[in-house]
Amino acid sequence: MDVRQETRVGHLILTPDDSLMCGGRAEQFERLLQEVIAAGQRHLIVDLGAVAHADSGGVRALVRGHLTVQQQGGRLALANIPGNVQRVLHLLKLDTVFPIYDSVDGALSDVAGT
Amino acid sequence: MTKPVEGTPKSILVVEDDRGLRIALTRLLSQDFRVDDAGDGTEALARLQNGAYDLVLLDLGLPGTSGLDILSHLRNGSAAPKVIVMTSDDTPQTLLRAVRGRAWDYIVKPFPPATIPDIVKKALASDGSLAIEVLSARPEWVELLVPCSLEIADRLQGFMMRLDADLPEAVRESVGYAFRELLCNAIEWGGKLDATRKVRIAYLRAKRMLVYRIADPGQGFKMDDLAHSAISNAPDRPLDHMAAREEMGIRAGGFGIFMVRGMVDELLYNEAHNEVVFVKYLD
Repeated sequence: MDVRQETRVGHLILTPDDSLMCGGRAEQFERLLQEVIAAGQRHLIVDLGAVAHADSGGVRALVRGHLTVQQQGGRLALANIPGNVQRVLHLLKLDTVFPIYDSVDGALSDVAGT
Repeated sequence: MTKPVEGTPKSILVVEDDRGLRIALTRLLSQDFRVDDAGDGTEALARLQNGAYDLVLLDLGLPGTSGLDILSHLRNGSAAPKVIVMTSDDTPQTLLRAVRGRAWDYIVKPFPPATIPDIVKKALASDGSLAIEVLSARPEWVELLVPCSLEIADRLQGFMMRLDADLPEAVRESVGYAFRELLCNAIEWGGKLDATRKVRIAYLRAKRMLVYRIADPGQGFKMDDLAHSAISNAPDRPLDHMAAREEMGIRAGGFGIFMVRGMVDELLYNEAHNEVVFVKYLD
């Protein structure tokens, strides 16, 4: 799995190109999130547009990223979430935990207050 | 059959009677591998007799010797290559024969040839010793014994979801998620990721319901001890269990059982909690 990284308006945007499932991909993404936070990133947006599915391993990666960056005074937002992943987040009531946006631009506009 | 030589490019045999598809696959795979091809079963058997292959892409509907016969021949050899089956026959009977023949994956035609190199690379990188043992292969009663390795979860979910190909997508998706979650739990917590230990899986398809049973080799657990799981949370406090996890020194997580409970109609554990059954009603 590849994860594109791009910095815009002081935010690191991470775009995984595959589903986040236990058994490799979810764990890989979990490690990457922890690494970028440990390296000092405090404002993260995860673009889930290419993540067709996420199981509990994928959810764990996102929640752990959220908790870790929150402890550092930062924020992890989710953008561009496909229907299957939205259903999982809703089932787990996690759509009340993460800041969620229709698009990365929407997330950046919200931060910029426009 | 001889064994492939270590350190040389991986070798692939493409067995396909559709000339156009055979040429397309051979060209695509030749960029990274040493590739031979065969247009029928007899030619394939001759190639396998004389050469050593790491992987065979095998069409099932071949003239002469069928693909399933070749699969069975390969299983009786001493250095069996991994096999990816390609077929337009996606009936449960054929799928189960392929699983019993230890096919690594099962691809339903038509498919874009460009997707094949990634599937081949994934198969070649996988642990060839992780075999799925078929105990019962009736379409309405499938029973399997699988090693406790997460690597096998993807493959198995793919196989099992194809058994339900006739069901609405939403049902297949819920069942697939639930099965995978419980399988991963059984492999990780029950089997401790020890591939020498086995998880036993049963799938029953009745007229009005689907039943899955997953039995792991562990000691089980007590529901009262699951303060670190999301199932213990109040409805409006989805992360409360994280405090218990932190206290126990375990990383964030604990969503699996809660997810499954929301996706199936019934979720039942045995007394020791090392066997679980879930039911999905179909009407």
